[in-house]
Amino acid sequence: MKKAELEKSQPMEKQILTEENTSPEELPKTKTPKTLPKVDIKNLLSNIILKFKNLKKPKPIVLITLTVSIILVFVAILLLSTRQPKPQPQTTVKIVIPTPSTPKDEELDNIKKEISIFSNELISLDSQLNSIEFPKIDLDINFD
Amino acid sequence: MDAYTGLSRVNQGAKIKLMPIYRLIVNSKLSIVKSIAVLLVLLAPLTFSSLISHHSSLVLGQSPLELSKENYSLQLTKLNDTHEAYITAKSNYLSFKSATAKNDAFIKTKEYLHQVDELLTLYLKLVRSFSDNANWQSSNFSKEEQNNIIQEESTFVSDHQAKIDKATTLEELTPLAKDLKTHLEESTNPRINKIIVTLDIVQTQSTSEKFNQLSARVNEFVASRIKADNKSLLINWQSETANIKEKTQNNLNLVLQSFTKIKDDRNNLYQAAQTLKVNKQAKDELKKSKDLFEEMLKVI
Repeated sequence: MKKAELEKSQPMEKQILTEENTSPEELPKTKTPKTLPKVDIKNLLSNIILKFKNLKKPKPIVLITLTVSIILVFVAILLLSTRQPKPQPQTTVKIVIPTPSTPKDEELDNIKKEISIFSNELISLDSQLNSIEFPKIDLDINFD
Repeated sequence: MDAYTGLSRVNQGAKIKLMPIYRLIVNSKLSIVKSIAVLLVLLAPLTFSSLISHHSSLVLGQSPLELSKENYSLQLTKLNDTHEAYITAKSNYLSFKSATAKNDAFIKTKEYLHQVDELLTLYLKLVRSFSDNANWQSSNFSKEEQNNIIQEESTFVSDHQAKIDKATTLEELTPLAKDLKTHLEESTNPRINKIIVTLDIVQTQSTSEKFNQLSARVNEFVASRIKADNKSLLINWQSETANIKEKTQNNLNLVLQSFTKIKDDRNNLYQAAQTLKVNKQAKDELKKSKDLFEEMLKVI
């Protein structure tokens, strides 16, 4: 295509024409998305176990690991137990009773309490001194 | 290889005896065994600490009286054990008459007599705790007087224990045991019996006083609130409480008369028992008021 024809054509046509004229080498390369390499967890675990088995002294390592984990868990439990729960804001629901509330009879409550204490005293009246009977002791010590 | 321990049969016999649990944990391929071991190790200090705090709270929560009761009870068990050991040692000595058997009899008898004094000390402390716990305000009996008697007896027992501890031969122990027996029969036992009767009376007097106060209060309260229909019920209740009050007081007077006859000698057991019997009648009279109070409150 001649240059004069290209200059005369419309912008969209221009673009099509330039694309047709350019060689494939000149075209910009599009980026393909990178994919992560697949990890075989089973293989990884078996490798770790294998490496662990090949260690010269596995038992002390097991013991150290256990001890450290025990200490960590114990400290965590202690921290959890010492942490006091935050006081939650109390959601008080006010119940409005239409009828007038009856006043608490304190005098009656006090008398009931006193009667209860006295009744308990009456119940334990006999059992109190039962446990202090004089002990029977063998003091006939002779070797004849 | 053993499936559970992970040890070869050759090793098993020799090594498993040394540290079987350690080997079981370390050698085991079963992760569950290790997990259980870890859990147990974790739970042990927690359980231990909770047990200690629980036990300490129990000990701290005990009253002096309850503590005295517990100490005395434990000492009774200990004394029974030393008594059995003394009986066995005595039997061996009487059978063989050897120096070794005599020495063993001496050690066991000395230990037994030491524990007897320990028991008596704890027993006297228990009586003292009861005395401290009693309400003496409603009574004419003197708390100090009773406590002085207890102190005198305690001093005798501790002196006797010191003598037992100093003894070096079997021959010394027999007269020391005899001394203690005589003192217990002629002094400690009758005096403490009298104190027990005193404590029983003091308790009844205190309860009687409380009954009088409470019945007066209930009477006043009920009279101000009772409906006119129930007036006769109140009058009958009043007569019933007055009856209890009168009978209790009569019994208490008889108790005090009987108490004066109790002497501080070995023959006071019968009189002490008679006094306790009359005192029980006073207690039984007071017990009738329990239902009476509750009944009256229901009427209001």
